[in-house]
Amino acid sequence: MLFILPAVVIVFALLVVPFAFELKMSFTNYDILKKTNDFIGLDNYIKLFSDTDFYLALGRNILYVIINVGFNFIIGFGMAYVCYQKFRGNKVVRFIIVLPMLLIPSAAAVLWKFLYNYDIGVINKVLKSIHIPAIPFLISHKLSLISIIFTDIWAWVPWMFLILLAGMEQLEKAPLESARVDGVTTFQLIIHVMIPMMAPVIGVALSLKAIETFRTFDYVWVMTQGGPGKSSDILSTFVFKHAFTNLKIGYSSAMAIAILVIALLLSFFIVKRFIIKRDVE
Amino acid sequence: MILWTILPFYSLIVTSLSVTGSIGDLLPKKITFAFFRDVITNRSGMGNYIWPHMRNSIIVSVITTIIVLVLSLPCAYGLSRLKSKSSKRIYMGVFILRCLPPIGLVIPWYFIIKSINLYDTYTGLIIVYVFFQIPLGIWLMKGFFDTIPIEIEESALVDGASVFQTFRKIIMPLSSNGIAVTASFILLYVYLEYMYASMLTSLKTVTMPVFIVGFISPFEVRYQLMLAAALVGIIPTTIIFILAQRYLVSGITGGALKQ
Repeated sequence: MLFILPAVVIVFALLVVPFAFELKMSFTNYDILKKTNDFIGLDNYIKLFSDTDFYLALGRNILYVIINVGFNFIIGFGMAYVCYQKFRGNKVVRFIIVLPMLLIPSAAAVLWKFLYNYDIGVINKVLKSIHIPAIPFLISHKLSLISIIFTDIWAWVPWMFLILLAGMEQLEKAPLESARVDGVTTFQLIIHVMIPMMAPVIGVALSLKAIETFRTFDYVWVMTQGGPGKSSDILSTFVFKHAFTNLKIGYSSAMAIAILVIALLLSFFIVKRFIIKRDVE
Repeated sequence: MILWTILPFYSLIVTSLSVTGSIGDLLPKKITFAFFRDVITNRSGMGNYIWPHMRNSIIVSVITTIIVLVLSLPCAYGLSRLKSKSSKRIYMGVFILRCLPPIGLVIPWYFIIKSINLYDTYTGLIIVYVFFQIPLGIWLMKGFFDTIPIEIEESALVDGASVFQTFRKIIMPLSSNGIAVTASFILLYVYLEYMYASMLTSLKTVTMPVFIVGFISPFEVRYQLMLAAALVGIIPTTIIFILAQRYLVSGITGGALKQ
């Protein structure tokens, strides 16, 4: 117990102090521009319940997580399956695949902001040279969020790749080979043999990925700041904008508390379902 | 599949070498190393010099990592060995803490750090990072400690060693791999962090991610400089990755994936 306490006490103190502070602010109409700072009880929370923009941001956030996790899994699994085979240059291919993960996320974001650029971006320059009209990736309401998600997938597929590859390499060879002898196709082999065998790894990988993605901020903020309009706002950028651009501290504190509660419920569910269960067994 | 990774990287490199007129071309007509020179030397004197920011990043991530390790190693060890209900509860709390989105506390942290005059200092950043990384440290290290058989310690205890001695002389050396992985993970997370770094720094302690984004101003975006800086910024992560490569996967999934 003597070993455990110092860290726990410090983390607890560093959690409770800001949280209490935030809770207190969430009951006020603290607004730096309007210069108000009075106690208004639960008004912020009532306002939040009917704030469509908040729900839309939450919805986009969920969409962001689902698309991201899904494609990460499909692409990461494909890459891992290829590298699982033996061929020359395997090590080099692995290193190349991992490269995007080593780029600082905000740097990956600026790189793609540049690639997507309407006038001078590489993608649109290539499209123009083969006479296809330029695509307004980040400056159109329809495409901004999906373009950002694509960047996020590009940057973090290596993570999924590494875990799935490790999972594959731990598989027993015998069932795979007997299935091969029975003449199943590669596709059947993956769906009916490999994925069920790897279920524990996949479960952990997907839930950790979902948690990580739920926290995203860098990509959206650097590439569009939630714009154009509000078309790519997710929870984190929405709160950030309210707090540090519009300076509505009281209201954004209430939002932040709401997000913490949502995340708490989500992670509690994930912990119960995937993580702790094995420890108890 | 390789093109998927390589093409963006190719244009990253090419663009950072292109002269202003041919930016965005796949095959620039003229290449120049001027932007790289501006970034890695202090010649231009325009605040494009990367070293102060690299230094900030390294100082903050190394100090954070040391503090986190000192605090989380014993804690993880205790949690791994104590089989009581409260220890399980604490472990669960640690995991949930690790899952919470950092945005949830950025507002109070900003005001707190400002009010105790730690804005734009290493200490301010480090306090916040230590708070966010301890749960990760505990979680990862508990996974490693769980794989060390308890019999080794029991025989040490029988031989008259104190619990503290056992921990220092037997457990620490045995788990050096785990410590290396945990350290590299914390280093990476702190090195890559953007949101808090952008909120809590302004001039003196600006870290790499904030520095790179700083090339975007309302008036112009200096792409070549920005991408050259991004390329230089990849060096530390690559070094950490190569050093930790063998253990990396056990680190990513931590205690969650026991064999």
